[in-house]
Amino acid sequence: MKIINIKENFSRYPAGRYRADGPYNGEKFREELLMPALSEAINKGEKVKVELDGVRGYNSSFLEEAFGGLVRSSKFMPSDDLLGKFEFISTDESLIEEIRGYMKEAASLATQ
Amino acid sequence: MLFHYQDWWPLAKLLTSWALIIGGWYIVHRAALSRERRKEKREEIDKIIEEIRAIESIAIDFHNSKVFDKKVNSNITLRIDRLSKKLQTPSTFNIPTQLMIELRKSITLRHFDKSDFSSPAQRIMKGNPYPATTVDALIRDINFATDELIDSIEYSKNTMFP
Repeated sequence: MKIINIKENFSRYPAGRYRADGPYNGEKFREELLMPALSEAINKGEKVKVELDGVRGYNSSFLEEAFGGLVRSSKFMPSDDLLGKFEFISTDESLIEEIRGYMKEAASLATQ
Repeated sequence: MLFHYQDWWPLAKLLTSWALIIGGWYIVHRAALSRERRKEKREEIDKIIEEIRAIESIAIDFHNSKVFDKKVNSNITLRIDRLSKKLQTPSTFNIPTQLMIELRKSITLRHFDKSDFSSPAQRIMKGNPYPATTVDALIRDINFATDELIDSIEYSKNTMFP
């Protein structure tokens, strides 16, 4: 299983949606960590485990761009059931629910 | 050797009196302890409500601000994170997670990043994605999400710690 620990592999201070919003934004996280990890996991028939703890808070814009953006990107189609490819770990259950919500929302918009 | 009624009756009376005294003390002590715990929980909840109102106020000032303030942006993110963790502490409350999500979304999803932030002057310009009315709607959403969360916490407070 491919593991992404946001605190260790990305930053303790993720913030912002686009690259213009700061060094550790959602767009950068999606393109540099999430997409390669997902590609590798899909090729190997594995899942991606995303560990969210240890970070000084998440903005909704970061989460939406990273995970909703992943579904929107042409590289991964919603039909691949992206949500099922992920396992989220966090002491804050609301973050996991929020991420799943963005992924489902993006998938439903893509199929419309 | 046989005990007569006259021998054990004073002893039984003495033991009964002591049992009543100790039993009474125990009941009163337990009630006082329970009242104290309820009071502590209610005070803790009041502090959480104060914090939610403070976050609401800071968030509204942030969204109405003429310039994007990175420090306030980071501070809001951190305070929402702490609040969310606090509300999900087991055995403390029974707040639906969706209410916490709605609060975070209402404050940090739109008009929260530098690339997405507009000053009041920009808001009245043609073609701006965030005219004043949109910011007003965003603030109404923040008010609504805050009130919903506080109502739920108040309900828990009154049912779990009356």
